[in-house]
Amino acid sequence: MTTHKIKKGFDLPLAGNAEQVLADAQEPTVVGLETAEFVGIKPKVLVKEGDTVKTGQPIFLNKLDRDIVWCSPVTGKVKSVEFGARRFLNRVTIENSGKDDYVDLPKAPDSGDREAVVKAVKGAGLWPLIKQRPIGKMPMGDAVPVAIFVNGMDSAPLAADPAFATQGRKDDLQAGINVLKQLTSGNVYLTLRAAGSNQSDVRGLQGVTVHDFDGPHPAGLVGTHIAEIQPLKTGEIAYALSLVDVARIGEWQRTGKYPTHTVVAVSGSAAQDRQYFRVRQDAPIAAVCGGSAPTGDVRVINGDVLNGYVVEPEGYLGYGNKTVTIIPEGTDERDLFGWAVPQFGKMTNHLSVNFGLKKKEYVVDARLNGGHRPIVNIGSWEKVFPLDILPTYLVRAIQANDIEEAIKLGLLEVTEEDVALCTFVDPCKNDVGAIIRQGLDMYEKEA
Amino acid sequence: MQFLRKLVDKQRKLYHGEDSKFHKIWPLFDALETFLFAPDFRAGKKGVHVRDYVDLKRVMNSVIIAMVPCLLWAFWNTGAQHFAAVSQMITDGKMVAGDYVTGWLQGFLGAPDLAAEVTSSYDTIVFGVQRMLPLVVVSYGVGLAIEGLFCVIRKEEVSEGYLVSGMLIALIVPPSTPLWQLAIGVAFSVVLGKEIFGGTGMNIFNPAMLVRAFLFFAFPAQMSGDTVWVAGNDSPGKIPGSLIDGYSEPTALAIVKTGGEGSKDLLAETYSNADLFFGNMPGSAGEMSKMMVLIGAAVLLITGVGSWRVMVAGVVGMLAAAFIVPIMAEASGLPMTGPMYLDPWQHLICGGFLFGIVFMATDPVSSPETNVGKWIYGLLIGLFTILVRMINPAYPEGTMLAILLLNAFAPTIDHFVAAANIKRRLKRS
Repeated sequence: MTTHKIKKGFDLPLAGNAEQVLADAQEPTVVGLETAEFVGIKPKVLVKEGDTVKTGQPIFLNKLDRDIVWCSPVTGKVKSVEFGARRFLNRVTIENSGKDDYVDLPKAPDSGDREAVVKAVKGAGLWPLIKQRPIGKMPMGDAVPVAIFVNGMDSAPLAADPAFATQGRKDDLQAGINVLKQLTSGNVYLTLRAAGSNQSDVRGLQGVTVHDFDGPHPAGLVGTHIAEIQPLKTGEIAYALSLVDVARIGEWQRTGKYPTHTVVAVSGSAAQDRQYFRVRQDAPIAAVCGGSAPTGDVRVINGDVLNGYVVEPEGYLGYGNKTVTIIPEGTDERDLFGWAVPQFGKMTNHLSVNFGLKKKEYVVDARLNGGHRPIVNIGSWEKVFPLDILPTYLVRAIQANDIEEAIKLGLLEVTEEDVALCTFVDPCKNDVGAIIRQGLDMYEKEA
Repeated sequence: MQFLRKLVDKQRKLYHGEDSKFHKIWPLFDALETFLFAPDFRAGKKGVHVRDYVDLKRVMNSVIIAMVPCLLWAFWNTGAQHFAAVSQMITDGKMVAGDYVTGWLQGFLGAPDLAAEVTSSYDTIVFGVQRMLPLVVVSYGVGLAIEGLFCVIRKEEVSEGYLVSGMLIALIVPPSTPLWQLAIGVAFSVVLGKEIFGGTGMNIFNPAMLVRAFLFFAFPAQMSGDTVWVAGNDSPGKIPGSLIDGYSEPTALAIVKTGGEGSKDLLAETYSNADLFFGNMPGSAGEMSKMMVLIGAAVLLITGVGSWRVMVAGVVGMLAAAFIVPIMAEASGLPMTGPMYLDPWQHLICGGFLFGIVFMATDPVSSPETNVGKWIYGLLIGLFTILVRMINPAYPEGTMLAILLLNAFAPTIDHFVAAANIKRRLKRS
């Protein structure tokens, strides 16, 4: 076991951490399968309104690879099939009959036949849990990963702790690892927080190489882990997924049934019950908020505050989501002379704001706190970015549409989550992640 | 507070609607509005949902705060030098007290008491303000007007960059600079040095330094020599009117430049080391007091706005060069010049190097972006400053030229640092 100490970074001292208590959430009356989470897919719906579907039955597939399907997490009647512009499938909602009637999902063979394993995982509707590096999307094509990174920690602010969320599921985890081992030609790495809690189960897993990480965020991001453990060479790919996802794959592999439930942490200063919930996949947000959708001037985020997307309070939890963060929105709140007066109550990584006088926790809303400006680099990005990449240089290369140069500068080693802290600290309020994604999109188009 | 907010919201409608009455000049209103209230922007639907409280206004404001001690010293010392010169001229019989022409503020607040043995603090500050305030006003007025115009044409928010440049400009020109020359210099720098590159964040050269360079080469009579460093009052019929007629006082570096082997003693006769450090001497308006510069440097370093790498590298580079260059000159038989006889540390308290490396070289836009690049950049500024001081036969001071030269090379330095980064990456695969 190796311990990697990450020095550069920043732990956002946000108020509203989820208490480490796991409870069963209320069973939803309806679930919503959404496509918004999966950028770049071409969904084709397989059911119509009024159909009765079983748990584990495919609901839509990806036309770019018809083996990749998304399965129903409930048994019941299809309530609605909603399309957006150009008849792009947005959402399928299914009523929950309250009783699961499972489709028999073929398990992955233990023969080492990679293709058969891939096909089984895809058929079970679990392939979208895996993210490919570079790019950071669901793996497409036949390339064999040189390694698989299972992330057993999450250093993002208020994010769910995978080690806690998978406590007591050692058998599921081990079964999941055994499936993953057949997908790669190389190692399966398990990354854990050094001296973290709730790790008694995961430390005993067989067939993985454990690496410990210590330090501030982004010490818990897979981009950091890959750079530290086994940087990818040109043309190589790796798979990345969370320990929670491994448990779900393992559950399917052990039972042959669709893993209907997942564990979601509810956090954020505007959330009511800040704790972990065992909840049905694609359940409404209300299911983890005491039964009713959050109200008031709040922002509900599927994911954490550094990497997530906004959902309507009446929206759904999503497919692979592990954290729901609810923070105040801050609509129409404007500070008088906010730029000039010392602000001791505001979260910052700049001494010019609070002169180093820190609070333990801050309630923070979604305001930008300033106007957009061209990049004026006062070294803020570099202070929180631990990878051996020149972030401003990379961003400028992308802005100049010089993809070749951007790749040389390390574009393929990052995704938007790896540069999220740069966006956070930037005095010029640039969305660095969006620029990185724009570069990755250009790369995908050219490749 | 609520009243103010309501007022702003009401006015806002006149500027921000697509077909509103004054929509064309919304950037100007926006600049005013965001000066009062932070803009109502919130994070997008995807990605990062919370942001640091810092913004570019605060960053620039920190630099302005750091410059305030220098500005205050300029208010004081411009007056102090003026009255020292006047009383010297009266003693020497070159001037009669009755011929003293009062300026605009003195005309308003009362003429100074020239008969007093020691000029009163009040008279000193009145003159300092009278001389410095127009410099600041012209620098800001002309610069911000042009910036505003370009923002209206480009339909983008007014950037805060010039708030720093405007103050810097007033501090680095001789206090006697004629206002019309300053206005031309500012217009040149903002249009050709900044806006044609795309405005804040895009310029290659430090805009303030560019003003000084422009004035230096366009109006050498008012920007260099021994007669410009002490300001007088405009008196009609005398050109250039802002100088004290016939009074000359060389700067420390000018004394050293022509001093030859005995330059160190020659300097000590005129200015003690304490004079040099505390800024009790004539010079450009704001850079004389090294103590004030150091206070400013502390503000920049504590707030993290100025790069400590550039500052440390610059000072180290200068000290090293000041130590090595004379040795090398002696060894290779080059002619020895006055500045070579100074102790290396004395170069720090002579001239504008310290001000330049603290406030000008650290400009985040025109300096290298990479941390390694910043070290190289700072070291080279130190080196080139010393080379100009010691080897160039014409110019006593090299800070301005060194910083502008390295501004030009900053992208090149970054390029090589990036190339090294790329090479490391290739090696891995």
